[in-house]
Amino acid sequence: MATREAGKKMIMLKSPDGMEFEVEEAVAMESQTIRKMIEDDCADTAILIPNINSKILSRVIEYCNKHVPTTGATGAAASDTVAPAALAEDLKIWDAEFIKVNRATRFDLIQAASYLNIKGLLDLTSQTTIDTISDNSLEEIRSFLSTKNDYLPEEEQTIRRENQWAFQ
Amino acid sequence: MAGAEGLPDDLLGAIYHRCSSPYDRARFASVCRSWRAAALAWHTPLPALPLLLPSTGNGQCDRMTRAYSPEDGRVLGAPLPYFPYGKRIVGCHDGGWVAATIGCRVVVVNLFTRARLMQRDFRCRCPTAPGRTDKISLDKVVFSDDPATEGCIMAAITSKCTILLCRLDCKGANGWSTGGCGTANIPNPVDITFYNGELYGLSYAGFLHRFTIDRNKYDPYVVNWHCVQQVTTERPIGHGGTKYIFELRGNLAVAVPVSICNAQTFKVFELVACWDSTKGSYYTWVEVTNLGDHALFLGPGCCKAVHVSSMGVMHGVVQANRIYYSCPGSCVNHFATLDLGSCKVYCSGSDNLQYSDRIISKGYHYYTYGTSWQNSCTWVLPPDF
Repeated sequence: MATREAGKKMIMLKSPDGMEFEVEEAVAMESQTIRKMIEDDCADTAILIPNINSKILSRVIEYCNKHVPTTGATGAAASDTVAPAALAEDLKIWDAEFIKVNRATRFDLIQAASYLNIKGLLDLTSQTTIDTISDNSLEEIRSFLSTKNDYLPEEEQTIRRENQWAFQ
Repeated sequence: MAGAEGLPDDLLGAIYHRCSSPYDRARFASVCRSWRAAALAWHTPLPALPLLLPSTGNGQCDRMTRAYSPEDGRVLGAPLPYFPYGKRIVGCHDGGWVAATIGCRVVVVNLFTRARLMQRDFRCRCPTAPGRTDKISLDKVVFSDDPATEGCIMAAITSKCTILLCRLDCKGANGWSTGGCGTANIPNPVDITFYNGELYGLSYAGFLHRFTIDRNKYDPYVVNWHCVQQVTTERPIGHGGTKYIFELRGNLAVAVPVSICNAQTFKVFELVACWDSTKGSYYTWVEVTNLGDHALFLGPGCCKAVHVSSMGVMHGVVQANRIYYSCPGSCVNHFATLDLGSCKVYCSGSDNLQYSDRIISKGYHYYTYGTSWQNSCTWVLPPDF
């Protein structure tokens, strides 16, 4: 149920495995998908988030909590005392820590970010994947992504020959 | 959920689209079948940005050569598929084509497909004074079209025979000509370019000339130029002799070096047609203070304005409205160094010049050694990916 607590509007999010998360409306509205539901008045009762289990959903909420704009009543104190640049730097460090997860979790987060339409989280998770691709050898990329190499040996050879110069 | 790697195709596509550099895209497509399929399905042509490539004229040194990708922000780990060892690169064209030379021998090859279009020696046909060489060496080469197309003409600035013209698809002796030694009535150009199918040259003094190319109607392989016309009496203002001429957003443009607060940078001028009731129609140079979506790459053998996609701006080092130039230089310790295997390059920038009406430039200064071989460092244009 949507409730009010200390002046803040709360929203209930439910994962398919039955867990319930009560979050501030502003935090939930970091997701464009949820924002649309709220704006369309489809969110009177708890919102069921399909396909996203409680473990991933809690991480998504953690991300939104951190990234919700601090200009509102709750964040006024913080933005008064900390310069915006320092705040952005702090957020960057926090993001870097946040995304230190295994491949399966990261891919689940990409899917969750895509479904819930949270641009910042989708940027962060996708970019981390691209950074992996960008900075490593083919073997390392495959091992980081836990990807099975399903090329035939001769295909593999051709691909390596064609793209050799693109790798470190 | 789809695909062995746990990501649905549309999300793989979304990630693929975030790969702003062609190198990342090539890596992406190499991972496994489903990633390759996504790369093919979501592929949109990405213009490849130039690579900085040294050529030393020394075969041994050239074997260590690596290209630098400013877009990727690093020196590529593996050599390009092909390199003309021991030859200097004096010209390039979109799609990976280069002209490389040693002595009077010139080859036109593709660094990425390994295709070889031409290899020939140019010897002057004028009577040669005893003891003087008849070898024609080329300083800069441009192409009228994609070198693989029929009828493509190669034009070159030579050390002593003014402009040389050559049909790339002609193997016979008639397929090329020069302006002759000491006979031409124009100063030897410092840079040339093809623009709208015609050849233009910029003299040391800054005058622009148009060369009319004759195609013999009985023998289409015979090319010659007979008429030189000065396009405008005006000259773009700058210092020094290293000038570049190129096409910018459909107009003919030049870049001339200027020095501001001891920092080297360039002024860019566009040739603009005007009309005046007393003079009639005439051409004039108008300074360009903003390159828009384009970045300009200047170096020996290459000057090219390249469209920089907005995606590349996000992560890449290459930015629109910038000039990237390579030129000979000496060791300057406080600048960042790039090791290109056969050659070291020092980077400098004019970023500290906070002029709003000035295009920011970034320099790559390469070491030149003594007379036994000569380092050169130029931009080559890879094929689109």
